[in-house]
Amino acid sequence: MQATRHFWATALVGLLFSLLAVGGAQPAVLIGVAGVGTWLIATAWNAARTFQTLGSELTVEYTLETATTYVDSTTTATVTVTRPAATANTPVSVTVTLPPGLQLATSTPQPLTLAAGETTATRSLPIHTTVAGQFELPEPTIELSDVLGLYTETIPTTTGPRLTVLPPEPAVHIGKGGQSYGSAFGEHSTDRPGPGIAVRELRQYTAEEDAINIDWKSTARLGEPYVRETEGETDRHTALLVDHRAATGQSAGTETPLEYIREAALAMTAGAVDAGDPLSLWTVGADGITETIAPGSTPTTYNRVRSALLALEPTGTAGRRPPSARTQSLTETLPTDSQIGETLRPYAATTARDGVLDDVFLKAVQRARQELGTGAWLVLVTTDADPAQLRESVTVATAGGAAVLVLIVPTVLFGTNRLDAISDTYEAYTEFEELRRQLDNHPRVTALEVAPRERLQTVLSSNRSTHTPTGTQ
Amino acid sequence: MSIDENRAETESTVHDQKLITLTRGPVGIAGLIVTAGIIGFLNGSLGIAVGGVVLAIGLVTPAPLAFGVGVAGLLVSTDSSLVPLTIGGIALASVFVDQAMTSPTDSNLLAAIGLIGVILAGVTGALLTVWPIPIVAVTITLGVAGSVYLIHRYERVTLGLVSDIQ
Repeated sequence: MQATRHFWATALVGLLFSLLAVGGAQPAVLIGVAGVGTWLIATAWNAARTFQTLGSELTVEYTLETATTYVDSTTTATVTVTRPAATANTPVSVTVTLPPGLQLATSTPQPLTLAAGETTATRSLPIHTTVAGQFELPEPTIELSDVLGLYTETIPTTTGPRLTVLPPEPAVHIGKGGQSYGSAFGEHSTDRPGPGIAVRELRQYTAEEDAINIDWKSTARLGEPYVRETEGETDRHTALLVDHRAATGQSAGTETPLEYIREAALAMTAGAVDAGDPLSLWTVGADGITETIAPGSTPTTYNRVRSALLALEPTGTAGRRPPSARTQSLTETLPTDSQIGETLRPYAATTARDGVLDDVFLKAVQRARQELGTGAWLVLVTTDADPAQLRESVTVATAGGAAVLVLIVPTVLFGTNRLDAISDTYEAYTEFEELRRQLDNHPRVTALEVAPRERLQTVLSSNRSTHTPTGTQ
Repeated sequence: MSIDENRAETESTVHDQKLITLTRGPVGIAGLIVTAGIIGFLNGSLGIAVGGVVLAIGLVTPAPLAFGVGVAGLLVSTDSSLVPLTIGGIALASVFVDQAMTSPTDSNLLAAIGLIGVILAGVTGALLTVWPIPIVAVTITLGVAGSVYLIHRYERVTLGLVSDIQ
């Protein structure tokens, strides 16, 4: 409880009377001393009770629009103060402070004030991020005042939310063989008649159908009743299945494949938002599915998907080669011209397939396809760290005639940047491109590469003079 | 800023032509009139003039200032008989009661004023029977300061604002 200047002014009056009593010895002066003393004690007691009640019943909700964002972007914090009507006779102010690296984007008025009589107040604070890192937002400061303005108190409140600020968005290339690919989104023609705007065909009216379907302008022009059929338009459920296992965090540089996986998935989310498509999310970590977000086309669902994508971190231990790759190497090392090699090869191949079938990403694809059916457009966002697993996953994803989009981050582009190794990188990239083309050759599969634009251009251009790029379409 | 000052400020803003605004409610006005009357009764024509000044200032100033001016007015009297001074003091206390009544608060403040006022008046009277006025004044002053400090510490402890080390 801190005294205000009004308290000190009142106390000074009491002290003057006290001095007068000491000097003048008049009993009337004691009335002043006792009167002012009564006032100060009574108001202090009343203020203490008020602050105790508010301390236990005042609630402050401090939330962030998204827990993760990028440098030089803006996110919104919302502060809501609520108190019961019975305690609403004093003013309350809430001040939010930000740590270095974060600043209020506009001249937002501070503090948030709850005047006497008001029970709730909310304020949105646009926060601009200037540096990357993890920020623990300080708890808001709540300043209480008593009803007479003689005392104030600052009380603790809920801890502030945590905000993760990622480095600037990477320049992402999405395409085929180094060539950019158009948006996977837009209007989705169903190739079926139905409600829509685009004209599909003009046909003669049949007596069985409703007369409301007759297109009177065409009828007047052609002299017979005609019906104008339009292209059916539909919402397409986009199901994102995003890989964030250990391989997505492996990189010799500062950028990791996961950053590009995230960007690709965010781009798909933005496309779904633009088209108003239902969107769902499945994220796959080292131990299996880490998060699922049910299909929805509401802003809440889109925001949840964005937040989940922004919060993704690589999981599991990096460095181990996938089981399928290990057993595949074993198959390759078996001698081809000996009896023992011929005897062991089938077992090794079976082990390789078993290794793939145990893969958590493949299991996630199986589960997603099982739960979503063939109606959903499955989008796999992963790396080429385990080609056998990727092939098998795409096979499972296309089962039942379903269409699949595969966004693959070539891990080779996250290896060493040494100039003397660039030709090796190019060779490895052509292998990746071969894999992508194999997948893309499937009639219901669109396989695209997701890569750091500059790094990819460097790899392609450095070899253009000495190599003919065989892997491009 | 006290509520009275707030109210005065708001009313001044709304009615720009008003140079002086009443800050007292009915209880405070009644108490000030009684006090002014007692000052006049004790001091004749000079007392009437002083009482008028006390009333005029008391009507437009914050409660602590109005109370202080009222007590100063009572001090003009050379008659130190306790009965009129006690009546004047009780009447003057109405400026605090009035502020508590006109503030958007519950009845607890009024009850606290009444209870603490009675206790403090009783203690003062009792001390006067054994000690001279200066010592009583110092004792009351220290007692009030100690009480306010204790309330302050109690409040901080109950709100969990005091660490174990303190």
